[in-house]
This record gives sequence, C-alpha cells and structure tokens, in this order.
Amino acid sequence: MNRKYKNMFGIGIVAILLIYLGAQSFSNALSFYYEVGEFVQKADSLNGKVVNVNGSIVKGSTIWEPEKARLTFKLGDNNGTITVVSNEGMPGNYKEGIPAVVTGYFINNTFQATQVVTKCPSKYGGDLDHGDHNET
Amino acid sequence: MELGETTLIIALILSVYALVAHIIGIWKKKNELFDSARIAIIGIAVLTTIASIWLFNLFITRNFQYEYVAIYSSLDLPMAYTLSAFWAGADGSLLLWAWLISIYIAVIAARGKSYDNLIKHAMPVILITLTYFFYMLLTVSRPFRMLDFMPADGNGLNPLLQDPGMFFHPPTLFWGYAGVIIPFALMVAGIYLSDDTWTYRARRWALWAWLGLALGNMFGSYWAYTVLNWGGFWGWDPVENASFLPWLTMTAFYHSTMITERKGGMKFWNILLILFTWELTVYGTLLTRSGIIASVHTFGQSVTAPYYINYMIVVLAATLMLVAWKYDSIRSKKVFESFVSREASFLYNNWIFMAATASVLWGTTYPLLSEAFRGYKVMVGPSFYNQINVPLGIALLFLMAICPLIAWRKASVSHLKRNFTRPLVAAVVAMFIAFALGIRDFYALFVAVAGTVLVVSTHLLDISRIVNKQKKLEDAGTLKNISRAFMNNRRTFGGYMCHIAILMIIVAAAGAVVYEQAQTFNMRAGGTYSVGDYDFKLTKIDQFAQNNRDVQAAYFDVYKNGEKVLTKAEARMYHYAKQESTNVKPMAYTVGIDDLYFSAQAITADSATVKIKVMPMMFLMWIGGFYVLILGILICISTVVPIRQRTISDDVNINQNVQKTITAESVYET
Repeated sequence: MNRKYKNMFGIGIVAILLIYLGAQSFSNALSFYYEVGEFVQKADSLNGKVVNVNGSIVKGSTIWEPEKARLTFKLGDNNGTITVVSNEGMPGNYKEGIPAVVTGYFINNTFQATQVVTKCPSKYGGDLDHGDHNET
Repeated sequence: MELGETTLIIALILSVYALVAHIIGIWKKKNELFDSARIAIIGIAVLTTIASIWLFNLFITRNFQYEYVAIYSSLDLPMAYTLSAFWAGADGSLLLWAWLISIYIAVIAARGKSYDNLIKHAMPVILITLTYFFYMLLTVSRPFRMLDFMPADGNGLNPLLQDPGMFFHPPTLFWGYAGVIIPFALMVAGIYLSDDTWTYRARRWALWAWLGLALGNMFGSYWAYTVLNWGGFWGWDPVENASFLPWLTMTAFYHSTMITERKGGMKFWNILLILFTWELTVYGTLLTRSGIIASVHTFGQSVTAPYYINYMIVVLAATLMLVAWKYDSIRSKKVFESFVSREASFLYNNWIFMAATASVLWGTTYPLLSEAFRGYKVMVGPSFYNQINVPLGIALLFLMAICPLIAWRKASVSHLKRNFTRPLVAAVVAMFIAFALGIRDFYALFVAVAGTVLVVSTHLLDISRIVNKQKKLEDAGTLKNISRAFMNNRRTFGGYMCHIAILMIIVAAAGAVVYEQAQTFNMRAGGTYSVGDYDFKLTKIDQFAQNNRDVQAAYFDVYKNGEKVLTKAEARMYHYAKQESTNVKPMAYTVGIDDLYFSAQAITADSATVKIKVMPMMFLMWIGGFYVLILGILICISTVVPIRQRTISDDVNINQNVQKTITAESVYET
C-alpha cells in the first residue's frame, strides 16, 4: 500500500470512528416528546424513562413551597392531566394557563421534572385589551 | 396611506426597477441603466431607513393601534427595551434584515468605481431577495399592520428579553445575516461569468458578516449566562444552533480561501461553503422566526415558514443548476501534494468545521424530520452535541497549534523536528508542572495546559520569525521592527489573535465544566455557607420596585480564606405584574480567576433558597470572545485584500511565479 492510500485509510478510520461515536451518542441523547394525553396512555410502559411532555399549566393547581424550592402543578390537555413536581425552583416566565414542556420521569403517579420550560405564547389581536375603539 | 407600508411599497417598486434595469443593462450592454439602478438602490436604503425610523417612532410613542407595537411593548416597559422591541418579533426582525441588506448594497452602489461587471451580475441576486423580503413585509410578516381598535395597553415584552443583551444580540446577528448575502451573490455572479476573483471580492464582506455572526453568538451566549438561569453559556438550544451554523461554515470558507489565494483551486468547495452559509442563514431565520421548533426564543406559530422554505429550495436548486451548467470552469487543479503540509492543515480544519456543522444541523433538524416522516416527536439532548463537538474542538485546538509552523506543499521530518521540538517540549514540561501542582483531570492537563502552551508557543515562534524577517529587511530597533512587522502582516496577526481568542474560549469552557463547584442552600439571614474555597454570608433580604417589576434580592458578603473578597453580592428574582410572571435573575461576579454565580430559586421575607456556583476561568470566555476575537477580526478587515488583478478562468494555466509576484499590496475593493 503506498503512502497516499495509507493516509486515506487512516483518515477513513477516523471518520468511521467519529460517525460511530455520533450514532451512539445520538441514540443516547434522544428523548421522546409527548402530549399529556399520549403520555397518560403510555406512562406505565415507559418504566421511568426520561421523556418530555407538553401541555398547559392548569389554572389554580400551583403549590409553591419556597423554603424547599419545590413547585407542584398540574399539566394538562384535552385528553388528560398529570401532576408535576419540580425541585429546581421557579422556572423562568412561570404562569398558570400557559403552555409548558416538562422533562423528567414518571414515578408513583407523579412526574418528577428535572426541567420545566415555559413557552411564552404570542398573543394576537383578540387577546389585546380593547380600549378606545377606533376604526381604521 | 400608512407611512411604513407606503415606504415599503415604493421600496418594492424600486427593487423591481433596479432588478429589471440590471438584467436589461447586462443584456443590451447599456451602462446608463446601471447608473439609474444605482440611484434606485440608494433610494431603497433611504426608504427602508425611513420605514425603520417610523417603526422606532411607533414604539417610542407607544402607538398600540399597530398590532406589532401592541404585542411587543406596553406602557410600563422601560424606554430602552421599548426600542429593542423593534426586533423582538418576526416582522420587525425581517424589516431589520431588509434594512441592513439595503444599506450594504447602497454602500456598494454609492462607490461607482468598483461597480464592475462582477458586481453588476451579483446585484440581481440581492435585489431578487430584497424584493421577496419586501413582499413578505407587505403580506405575511407585516410590522405595520393596524388593528381596527386602539388597545388601552400593549401585552408587553417577554421578561426574558428585557435585558441589555437583547439590545445587542439580534442586531449584531442580523448584521452578520445581512452580510452573508453579498458573498453569496458574488459567488453566483462568479460562477456565471467564470470569474474566480469572486472569492477575493467576497472575502472582505465575508469577514464583515463573520464579525457580526461572532458578536451575535457571543452576545447570545452572554445573555444565556446572565438571564436564562441555566448557569451555563451554551445549551445547544435549537435557536443557539441556528446562529452557530452559518458561523461554522463561514469560518471554514475564510480558511479555505487561504488555500485558493496561495495555490488556486478549492473553487467548488468555496462555492459549496458559501451556498451552505447562505442557506443556513435563511434556515436559522426559519427556525427562530417561524416557530417550527419549540424554544424559548420562538415567536409562536407563524405563516412565514413556507416562504422561507420555498426561498431555500429555489436558491439551492438554482445554484446547483448553475454549478452543473458551468462545471467545466469550476473544476480545480490538484492543490495537495502531501497530507502533512500547511494546505492539508487548512483542509483538515475545513473537515472539522464541516463535521461540526453536520452534527449540529442533524441534531437540530432531526426532531422536525422525525415528526414529519415518522409521526412522533423527539428531542435531542445536549450530550449528543457535546460528545461530537468536544473531540472536534480538541482536534481543532491542536490543528491551530500546528498550522503556523508547518510548511506549505510538503513538511519533511527534519522540518517538523526543527519547528515543533521546542513547543512540544514546553507543552510536556507545562503538563508535568501542572500535574505536580495537583491538576489531574485529563481535559485540564491535555487541553487547557498542553493545548494552551502548544498554541501560544507556535504562534509566538511564527511572530518572532516575521519580526526577524522585518529586522533583516531594515533594522529600525526592536519596537519599530515589531510595529512594522505588524503593519505589514496585519492579516496574519489578526488571524493569530482570533486563534488565541478561540483558545481562551475553549480553556474557559474546559475550566468551567471540569472545575465547576455548585451547591444549593436553604439559607437564613445571618447564616454562612461554603462552596469550594469561598464562604457566603447572607446579610440581608430585601424587596423593592424597579421600573416595571418587583425585585426580591438576597445580599451576600463573600470571604475567601477569612478575607472579604466581595460585598453585597446579590441573588435576585423579578416579578412582572403585567405578565403575571416570576423570573430568576442569575447574577455573576468575577473574583480573581473565578466567577461566583448566584441563582435564586426562592426568596421569602427571612430565607432564601439559592444555588451558588464557583466557575473558574469564565472571564477568559468574555475577554476572548468580546475583545480579542473582535479585535482580531477588525485587524483582518483593516488589511488590503490580496487579489489576482486579472481574471483567471483556468487554474491549470496559472504561472505560479506570476501568481507569487502579485503582492499583498494589490487592492481591490467591492
């Protein structure tokens, strides 16, 4: 094998290793993303796997225990509701009634969240506070 | 008629006129048409400036009859953030993008001397894009849309965007985004005309865009560090990735052009890199402004996604067709004689950047593909990006160490020994010293210590070589020799500063990740709590109103080895009544080489739950990213761009000697 092919061979090995490393770490880094209704149906079969669940924070469901930095609330959609507990403090932009994605696992009928990301919904015309009514 | 949309309509008409004038001017060879088109281009810049000032004015006067103003501002929003609300949403961001592009092309049009054949063929590409943007601004992404009622107040700005970082992050990013279109247009014109000089013409604009992208990414990172409460500077959020991707490909392009400049060739590769950069720029906008990926940055559901996707498909198809048509003039001669040479190191550098781009693009896009084609949603965690990009970053670091001293064409064993023995010995000695001082971690020893010593020593050796050459040429004393060497080799010095900046960022990241110490405490006023070498005494808890928010603050005195090193450090939480939301405001303080990072999780009248982190070396990231990197790029921009003064359509015919005599003094400005 001449030097050029040896070099190509070496580079090829590095590339294959990198692709292999990428494929391995990719499958480990993947986590499923469910709506609350879907999650409720599958929760038992997930065996404590880390997943993401998307829903809305149910109004009037928040229990905030500042001395423990513990936040408990219900996350729901039209097809179900789950109880979420987070010990990570108050997430940014937290507010009842808005969409949120929680990351964590389901244990003892409670979703233990390691991360709560609230989504700031865009509010358009209808949500604006109607004051003086001017036609354009 | 409404002023903003009227100016945009006239700007659209002028764009169409300038486009048609260029096409007919090229076709019929009528120069007077280009003169009028240039005036139209300057007119477009004036009109978009008026439209932008008008939008600022609508925010300042809080004219909530405009839907965009009502959605992104409110009566209680401080004036600085009222101004930055301009780019808080998708519509204003598109206007900002169009505004910056129109200013850039007005600068080109105003400098008549350089308005040559290449520019004449490039300008239609930019004008088509600008026309499309104006069309979107008037139909689906309207910042000047009016409501049929006057709201009493606006919705206000997302509290996370009420931060000085947001004043700078989007404008700098869009300064880069807007700049990318010019190299892209020059490339299209270059392929069409079989004119290779587009590479050199594009380089200054590429650097300008790269500066904007670098600043945008750094401001974004600093904002994440000081606002988002991750306690981190980079979270591989899809929107962070969106701004990182074009930066990666643009960096690869800038390195690739150095091989082109020195040896010709790499034509097809350069084309691909600039095509990717522009496509990724639009893709970034699609991700951040269309709401197709869930993220703290996105602006809800938008109807603009199909417009960006269609544009990307048309650009990709048209460019590839052009490349196929002109393939014979694009083919390069072989430029690599050895796998161990300076040009090969640039090639490896490009591969590393492309591997990083591929991994980040795949991780960012996979959730979309999975949902579209497999029917289920997934998320890709940061571990994937880290496991791929950390080894790539380390490889890049060592490549940076090799690059300044390795020979062009082919590096012999004796050459390698001569140039690298001293840096390698220094690196090994530094590793032993670090080991003796107690540093045991692999990354700290191998990356931070050995990598730093190698990179710094090889760069210093090359600089001393340049200064010695200057001395041999004309010895004017040490200081003068250095300053003359600097003035005559600004691009090399500027490039090396960028390398050192990247080194500082890598070392800061390694230091912060490996040696970070963190603990969460439920604290009582008067209590003292320890993290690492530091003692934190909670002295006071306070609550007060500030602008449009209520602030809860816990105050700390910080001691190290019994000595007070910081007074009244704060952990803060904000409550925004308008948005009915509570946000943590992380606070970071630099003490010596450490950053002390306070993240309040809860604050009551007599207690506070606070996560405290000690993160060494973080200051290097901001000094490297904001000062050294930017200064390095500015020094590079300040240099004249070397260029072959005649059009060379076929590299095979280049006489290497002639090529070498075309010096760095030649100036060709776009």
